[in-house]
Amino acid sequence: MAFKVGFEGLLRPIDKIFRIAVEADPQGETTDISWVEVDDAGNVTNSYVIPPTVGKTNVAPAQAAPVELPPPTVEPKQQKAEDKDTKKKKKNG
Amino acid sequence: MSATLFPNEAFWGERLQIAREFRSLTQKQLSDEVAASPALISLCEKGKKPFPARDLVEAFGAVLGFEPEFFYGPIEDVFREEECSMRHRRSTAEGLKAKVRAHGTLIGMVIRKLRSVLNFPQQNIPHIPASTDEDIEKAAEECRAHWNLGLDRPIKGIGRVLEHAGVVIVPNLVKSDVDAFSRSGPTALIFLNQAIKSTSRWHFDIGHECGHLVMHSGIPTGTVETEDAADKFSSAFLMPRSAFARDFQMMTHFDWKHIFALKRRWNASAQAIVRRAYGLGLLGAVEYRKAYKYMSWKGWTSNGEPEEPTFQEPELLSIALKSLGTKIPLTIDALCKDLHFSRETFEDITGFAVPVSKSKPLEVIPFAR
Repeated sequence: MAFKVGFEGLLRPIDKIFRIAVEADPQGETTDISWVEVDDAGNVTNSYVIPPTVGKTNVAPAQAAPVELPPPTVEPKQQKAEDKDTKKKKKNG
Repeated sequence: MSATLFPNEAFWGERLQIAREFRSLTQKQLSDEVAASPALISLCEKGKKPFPARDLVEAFGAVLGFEPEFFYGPIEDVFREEECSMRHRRSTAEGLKAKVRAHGTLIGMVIRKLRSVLNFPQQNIPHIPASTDEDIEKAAEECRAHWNLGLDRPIKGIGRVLEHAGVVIVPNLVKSDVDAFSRSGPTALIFLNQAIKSTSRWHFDIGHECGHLVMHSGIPTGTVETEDAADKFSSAFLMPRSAFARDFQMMTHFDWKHIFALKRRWNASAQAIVRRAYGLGLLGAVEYRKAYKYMSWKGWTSNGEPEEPTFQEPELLSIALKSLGTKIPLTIDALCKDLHFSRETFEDITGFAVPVSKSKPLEVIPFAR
């Protein structure tokens, strides 16, 4: 499998070819999986061995954000009554 | 002997008892202070002396820090023993417990007065009796649901959760012998002891008192069972089982780095996290014991733990008192006069300093001769 990476517009195009190489033993069981980077001429420039078994996932489950409440509010009792009075006055006026 | 202070109003013995207990005085000590017999003090407190002499009442006021008028008229909301939960050491003296209750009653008077002029958050505490472990887990989950906290989110400031539910939290006023105190009733209150400098402990203590308010309304507390239940409630409320288990199980083998990552996330102590994990069966008995031994060896169980979470100081009472003289015409001075507390007594009760009047004395220019 080989493909050329090129995301037009969103990302910078990368002029590289990647291959995934799967090696197997005579019984057909997978022994190694490698991610291989090659140039246009087919020369290997980098390779990464993908471990066949992963002991621990590096994908962390999404964690809900903590509950953070605003400060409690304490409002004057008279203020509301006064507001109503001024509203009434405005209506009448 | 001088005449009585208010001939038409009866001296209220319970007020004398509360003022005396607040000042940690025995009847004998008060009688010595005011040059009266202990028997007379006892009669006054029991209401068998409804019209004591004016000078005696004035002496009570001078010694205890109240205006003489304080001792007249019924108290609307006395903090009774059966309404109060006290997280204390077993050796705590009865006198200290009485002092804390008296303090509660006095601060209740302040809150009641403040509520007459200010709209406090409405008291909204669910009452869910629970005694078995499963019931306590469910009570904590129901309580979270009641306050819309969800079941998978840590609580950043548990104090604010309680204050939004109309519970007034009073910091720093109880002595070290009492870790925390709460009272369910018309004025729900939590006294928090901040003498032990551990913010994760304060979170847990508020959760513990929340447990009493939710589960033990009208039930006598202070027994091993009720204290243990309140601890379990706090644990379940702060660290709901499924979300906590998911986070804990990200650790493949016991690792203190992960425990402290959990501490930062759940705002609970490493001790509480280890205890919770053991309680939920996420940690075996051997690992649990080893972890505790390690914490003890590091001194975390006695001297406090590293990486303590931030703590949101209680705000409700402070916001209410700061609005006096600013948002509303009633000033703290006027409030003190209304309640018949001396300024010093008001400060002792609330922990809030009474601002000194900034007005300069009038300059008097003598007439020229």
